[in-house]
Amino acid sequence: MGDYTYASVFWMYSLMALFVFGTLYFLVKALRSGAVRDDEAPKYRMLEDDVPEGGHHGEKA
Amino acid sequence: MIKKIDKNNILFVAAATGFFAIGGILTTFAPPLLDASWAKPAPGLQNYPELAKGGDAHADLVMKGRAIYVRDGCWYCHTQQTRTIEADTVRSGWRDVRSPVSTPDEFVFDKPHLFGTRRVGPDLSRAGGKYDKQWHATHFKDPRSLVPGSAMPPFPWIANNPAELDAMVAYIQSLGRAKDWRPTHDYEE
Amino acid sequence: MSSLAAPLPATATTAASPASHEDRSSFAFLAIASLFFVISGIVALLVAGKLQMPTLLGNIAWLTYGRMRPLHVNGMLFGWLLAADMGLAFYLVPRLCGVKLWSEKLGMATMYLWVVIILGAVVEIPLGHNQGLEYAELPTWLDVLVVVAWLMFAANIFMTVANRKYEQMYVSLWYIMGAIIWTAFVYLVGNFATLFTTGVNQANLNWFYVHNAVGLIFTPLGLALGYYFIPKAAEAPLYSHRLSMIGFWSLAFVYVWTGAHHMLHGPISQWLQTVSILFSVMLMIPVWTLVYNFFATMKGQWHQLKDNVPIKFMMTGTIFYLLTCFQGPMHSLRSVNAIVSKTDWIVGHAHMAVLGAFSFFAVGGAYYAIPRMLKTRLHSQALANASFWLWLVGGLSFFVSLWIGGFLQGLQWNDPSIPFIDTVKFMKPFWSVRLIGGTFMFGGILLFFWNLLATWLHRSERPAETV
Repeated sequence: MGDYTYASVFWMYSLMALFVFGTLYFLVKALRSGAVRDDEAPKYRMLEDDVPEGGHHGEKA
Repeated sequence: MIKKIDKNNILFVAAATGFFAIGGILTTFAPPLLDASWAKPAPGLQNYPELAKGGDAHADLVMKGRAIYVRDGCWYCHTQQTRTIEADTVRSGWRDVRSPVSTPDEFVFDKPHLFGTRRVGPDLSRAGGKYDKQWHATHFKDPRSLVPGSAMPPFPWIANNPAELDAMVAYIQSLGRAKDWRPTHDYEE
Repeated sequence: MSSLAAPLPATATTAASPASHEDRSSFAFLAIASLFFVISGIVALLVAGKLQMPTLLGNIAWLTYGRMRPLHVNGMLFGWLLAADMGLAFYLVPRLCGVKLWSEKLGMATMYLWVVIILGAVVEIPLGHNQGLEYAELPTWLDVLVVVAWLMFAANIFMTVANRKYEQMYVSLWYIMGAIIWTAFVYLVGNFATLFTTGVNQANLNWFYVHNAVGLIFTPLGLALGYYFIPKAAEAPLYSHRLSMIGFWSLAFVYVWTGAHHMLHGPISQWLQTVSILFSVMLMIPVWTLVYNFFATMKGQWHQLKDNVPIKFMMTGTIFYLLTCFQGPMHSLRSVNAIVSKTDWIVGHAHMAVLGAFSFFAVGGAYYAIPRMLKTRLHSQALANASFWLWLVGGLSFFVSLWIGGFLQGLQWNDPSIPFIDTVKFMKPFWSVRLIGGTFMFGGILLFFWNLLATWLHRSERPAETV
């Protein structure tokens, strides 16, 4: 058994392969499900000086 | 499903935990199962905790010294690992004989582990037997009297307390003896 | 402490202005954090001084280097930085959710418990009650209290998020919730699982904890602050929310694998070392997406660097973050690691992460948030600016001297013909520069503390122009 044929090295290879394919799978799935469209609203809303629930439209009784 | 994560905090928690758990499990619980050498003691390794429990006076002294080493934070400045780096084997060696590198089987009974992370002072993984008790007593009282320029603080409460000094010396002399590698005999057994 | 933590003066204008956030526990957390910042800073100077003069207070057991160093590290990490992060989380989570904090009472109780924990540590560590594991030095009874406090903090944040007004969550909320979840696991592994293991197995869990304490506690909390305070202070929208999600999920996945890179070349399985190297290099993905996002947010806004103090802190923190997270993957390469590992280079690296990047985020956030939560103006912009320059100049001289010294010392170590003690003597001038840089930074801490205190004392004399 050489340095490159230890069981743990094959374990590493299979792990890396799993991640590469997993990444591609989720990337494609995310693109198809529209996860990367229309998600920029929060960044504009966070700039408003928001007030807690009940404060916006007249005072809480 | 993916799109909903940023709107649904339960889904978010599940996903964040899951992503983390893959690496979390594979790097914590899996390695000791995959590499049996972590738990298999080296042939020459003394099980000091167990011996001390069995009433062995020397082992008890070693364990007391180890506790002082932990208490006073010696491990913040001294590592206990001869790494797979050539210079490490020379520096851990003794009288032109190189030391073997540290392997997991030499540390099976260490609790807490004291591998350390910083070398303000030299590595101690093979310190056992290099200097005798008188040297250590003087060194603990005033490190600079033996090693000019040393950054080690004095430890008078160890040097002036026979019980603590004996324990510390016993512990230091026990370091790195799981492997038999020295040609000539030590100052002290 | 009780006077600092007392309820804020009732704002007479409540009837006229819309209902507002109470911010009681947020302010109290920042108050104790800045106090512990000063105290840990004093300990830091003592520790740095001891390297210069090993006999400095050296004959007193409880003041010895090996007991003061963990006090400094734990004080800075948990007393200052984590407390400040929790305080700022209590500030920004309710604002991003559009609702009040779920329970101010629970928040105050968490703060009091945190004070008990820190004071417990201040007593236990000098007594030498050290568990012998880095970052996990505290005795178990304090570990249990930390878990309780964290659950209280988690309940408050998650209930606030569950009650939120806006369905879609801003990225800072993600990071804070992620940090809470991950911290729970990381902390349990580092402080409890280690009790049942020995040797290399325990070391592996210990480094898992040490690395992820920075990577999955302080990093996500610090980045949450960056994502909130950079757009807020610059009054410019974040460049891309989408990019922030990529950064978040890659961080969630990649960070946790890297603990074993603390043991490179050491007595631990080679394949585990390789896994940690691989993932350490992949860390550049979340880091660079985030840094690009912050820089692109500032596009057209860079002129604000001139006199917007919170922005100065946030952007300098971002640069420190980029540098520190470039060093990290590089150190993990075996050839580089053989030189820098165990040297002062790593000490410089660690200080740039915690004191440079994440403390800069927390300080910038505090300068922005404190006046707003007290509905007043900052006591002095000039002092805040001075604290920035003290930190920058002190920090850079501190970091750079340790990098140069540490790198050269590492090269010397690799030449076994040089006696070890010569490499120690070689470091002394670099340690002097570090001490001077540290003194500058301590000055910055004092100015920061004084500015916050004065802002609080004079809060009613200086109402904010606009609420």
